[in-house]
Amino acid sequence: MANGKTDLLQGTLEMLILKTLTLEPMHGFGISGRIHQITRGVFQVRAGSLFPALQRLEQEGWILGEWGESENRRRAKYYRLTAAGRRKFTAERRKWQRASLAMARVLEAT
Amino acid sequence: MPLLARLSSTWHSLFRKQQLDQKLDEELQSFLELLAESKIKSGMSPEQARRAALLELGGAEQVKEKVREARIGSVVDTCWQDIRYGVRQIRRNPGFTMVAVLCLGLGIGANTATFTYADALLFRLPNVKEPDRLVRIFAEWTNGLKYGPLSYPDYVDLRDKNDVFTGVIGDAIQPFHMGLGDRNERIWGALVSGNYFSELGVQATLGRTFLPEEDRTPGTHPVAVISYGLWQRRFGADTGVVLKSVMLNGRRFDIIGVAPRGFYGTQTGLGMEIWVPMMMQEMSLGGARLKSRGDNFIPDIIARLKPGVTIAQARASVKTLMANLAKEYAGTNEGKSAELYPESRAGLHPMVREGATGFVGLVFVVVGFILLMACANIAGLLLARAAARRKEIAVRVALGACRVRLIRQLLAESTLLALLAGSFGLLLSMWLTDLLGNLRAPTELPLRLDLSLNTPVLAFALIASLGTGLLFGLAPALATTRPDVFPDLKESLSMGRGKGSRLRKCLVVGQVALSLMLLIGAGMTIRSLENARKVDPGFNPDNLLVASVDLELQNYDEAAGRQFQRSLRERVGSLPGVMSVGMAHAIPLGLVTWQVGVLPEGYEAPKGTSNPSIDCNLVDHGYFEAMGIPILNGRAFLETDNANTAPVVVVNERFALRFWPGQNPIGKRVRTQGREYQVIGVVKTGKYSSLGEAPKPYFYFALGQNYRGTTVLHVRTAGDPRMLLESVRREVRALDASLPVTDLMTMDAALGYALAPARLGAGVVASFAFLALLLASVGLYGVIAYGVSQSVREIGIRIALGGRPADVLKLIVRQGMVLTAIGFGIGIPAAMALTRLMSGLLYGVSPMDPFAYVGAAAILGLSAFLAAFLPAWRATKVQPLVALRDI
Repeated sequence: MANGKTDLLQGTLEMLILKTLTLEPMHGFGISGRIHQITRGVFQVRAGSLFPALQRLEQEGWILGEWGESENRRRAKYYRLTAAGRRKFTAERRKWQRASLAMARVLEAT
Repeated sequence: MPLLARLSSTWHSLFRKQQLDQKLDEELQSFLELLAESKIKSGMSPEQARRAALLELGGAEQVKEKVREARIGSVVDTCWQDIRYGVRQIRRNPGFTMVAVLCLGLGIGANTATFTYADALLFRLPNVKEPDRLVRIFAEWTNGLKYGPLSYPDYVDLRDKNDVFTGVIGDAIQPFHMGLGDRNERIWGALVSGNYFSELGVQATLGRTFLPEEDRTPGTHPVAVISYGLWQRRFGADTGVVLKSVMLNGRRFDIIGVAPRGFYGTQTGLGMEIWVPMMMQEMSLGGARLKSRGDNFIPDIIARLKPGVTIAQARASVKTLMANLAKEYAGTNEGKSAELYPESRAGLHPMVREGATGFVGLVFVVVGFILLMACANIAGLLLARAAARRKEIAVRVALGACRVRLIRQLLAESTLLALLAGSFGLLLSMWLTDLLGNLRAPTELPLRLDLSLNTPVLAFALIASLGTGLLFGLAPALATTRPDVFPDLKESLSMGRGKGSRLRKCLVVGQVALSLMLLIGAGMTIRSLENARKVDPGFNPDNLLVASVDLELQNYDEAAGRQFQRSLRERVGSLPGVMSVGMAHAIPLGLVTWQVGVLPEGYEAPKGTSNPSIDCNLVDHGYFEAMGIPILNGRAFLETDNANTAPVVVVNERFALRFWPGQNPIGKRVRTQGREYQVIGVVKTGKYSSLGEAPKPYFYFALGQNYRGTTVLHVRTAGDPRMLLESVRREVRALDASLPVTDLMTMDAALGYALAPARLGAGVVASFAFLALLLASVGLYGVIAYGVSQSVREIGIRIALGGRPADVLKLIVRQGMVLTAIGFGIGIPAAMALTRLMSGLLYGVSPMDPFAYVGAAAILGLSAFLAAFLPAWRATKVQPLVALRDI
């Protein structure tokens, strides 16, 4: 995550994953690629961070992993958001918006 | 749903680990393939793409380890792993385990034993209802005297005129003569106020406790409550005891109840066996102390605060009350006030408490230091062993173990070790407190401490063990897993030149010095005990029997007492096998010593000093003959030296030499105790306070001219004095059926008690010496073993280049011996200083006793040699090739 790229804030990765999964169920590689793509390469998620995070989210019951087949017929584990995960994400998003608004105000203030 | 999901994933991660791991493997595999595929798409060759993907993944094992850690229950799981690993390590190194458990166990044991005493003496509250609402009231005078007793009338006023206490208890401990069946004995009990048991909330196990009316009028209610222990011991736990009676100080008392088990009265550290109402005070001390405000005889006043009243409010109230009394009874109460202390700070009398706290603190410093030493040495051993394990650790780091995890694992091992040591220490502490508890302390007081194993003691041992485990485990764990450990190791090619090793060498030198000092000290005390048996006490202790009777406590007046003493002397003197009989106030080298100021004729005390204080005794006309003390000049006392004749004394040779050198002491006059005495005889100088003392002046009053009710009968026998023990007891019984004979024993046994403090001292010094020896050996071994492990490569090179193993051995052993020699260099002068300090306690041993010095040096030298030789010998077994490849 170093090398000129921005480090993820604690807990941010989990929110990014939840966000990614609101669109459609995805496998691990897909999630990492999507985050890379959306943030235009600012955030690069390594396997060493991704998989423990997936593990945590699954344990909390916010996502559910199921084995399926990928676009080019490979077996992969697809994660989808559960109802609890969706609620969690909504709540988190609200919190983030409030926080970033406040941060922005502070930084813009002269 | 989340709860269910959580439960199921916990279940899975704990019990379906393999399955989970397999799934994870598959997932990572698929991730890799997808990653590689995307790289191929962007134009890499399949070969390149796989390499790049692997690189980007950053080590499959590391990722897996991280995921495992993120799992619920991973803590339980990895802890369990760590413990299993620790157990394996401990079982694989039985020698190391034994040494560590022994060293640490001794340290933890000593600390736990000390804590057991501290807890029993200083921390524990009495076994009564709501002890935290109890306060103690002590007299205090304006001249600065504190913690004193109050008089009975003061107590009554405090009890009846306050509005802050629910009740106020008075308690005065004292010995009682208990006459019961055919065995009389002297026991300790207390005179207590009628509300004693009810206010403390202590209920009788059997029968009842005192009624209020039993403590209202002097001398009218001879009733007693006995302790559970006395009930078991003397009444065979007979439930009919409540109808029985017992003779106390020659008077009959009805037993009304048995106190509950575990109740020993309200004196921390003392155990009472009987309680009688305060109003029976007259029979016990023969005076009307209940009426006089000037006679401050109630040492313990305990009050229970009313609900909602604070100690500060109560204090103010008590001070006002005492101020009023001081005005009203200026003659006796002027300057007298009172102070309140919470029970937790005064259950042990505050003055004793101060001393005890200081002493316990000092002991804690010593045993804490020992434990720290043990920790340092075991840490050294662990470090030496960890160095040998660095290959294993390197492999594990390479396989993806993170540092925290490794440290945790190493700590788990040291904690297990510490817990083993703690269990051993706990056993040791129990044995030690048992041993110390069985010693007869040099006091007449009924010492009783509850030293049984309880929760605080167990908690202390546990915390001490865990703390030690962390202490000796952390440093080696950090050092071993330090990321730069490998370059560091490569650089240190020479024997133990690491950063910390100088400190550790200093520590070892200090330990060697300390243990040499203590070994020499132990040798001295052992020699001195041997010599003590040969010291001439100035009388003949063989075939001599002593027996004490206390007629004062039994309420005899002087006339009755003299009659009793005369009859006893005659009856025992006519027993078959008795050669002669004498009486004295105290036995030499016993607990009772008595000093008076004297002014011998013609002697002038140097200016600014008071009259010399000289030890003395009170003896009768048969004493010198019975004791076998030779009369050197003049005569012994005669039966005719009585109240009607001129006062006389007998002095010892040293007395005559000091005050009348070169003159005939017979006929000289001595002023003392307000009278003038004439010297009629001179006896040989003996030992009076301790066997090690220098000859000192001593003199004797005639018992016939100065009555004492507490006397010791000395009986010289023809044969074994033990044959006459029962006969003497029988003769006393024949004269007074309820009078106990105390301290009935042979003079040999009595002298054994005189030597007990010296024996205890020798035991303590010897144990500390053993501990120090063990610690020093382990420390030395650790340092040498560490050095060897650090220079396996150097040793390998030496051997590969043709160095003989014997040379390597010599090289390493020499290092150990150099450290030992430095320790000797410090230890010998230190020992000289110590033994000079001890010389007052030593009987006929020179502070330079060669036996002690050579013996100690030999023992320590041999241990040190072994400690250095073992790792050295192991080093020579190193295969050069293995050694060279190893790093």
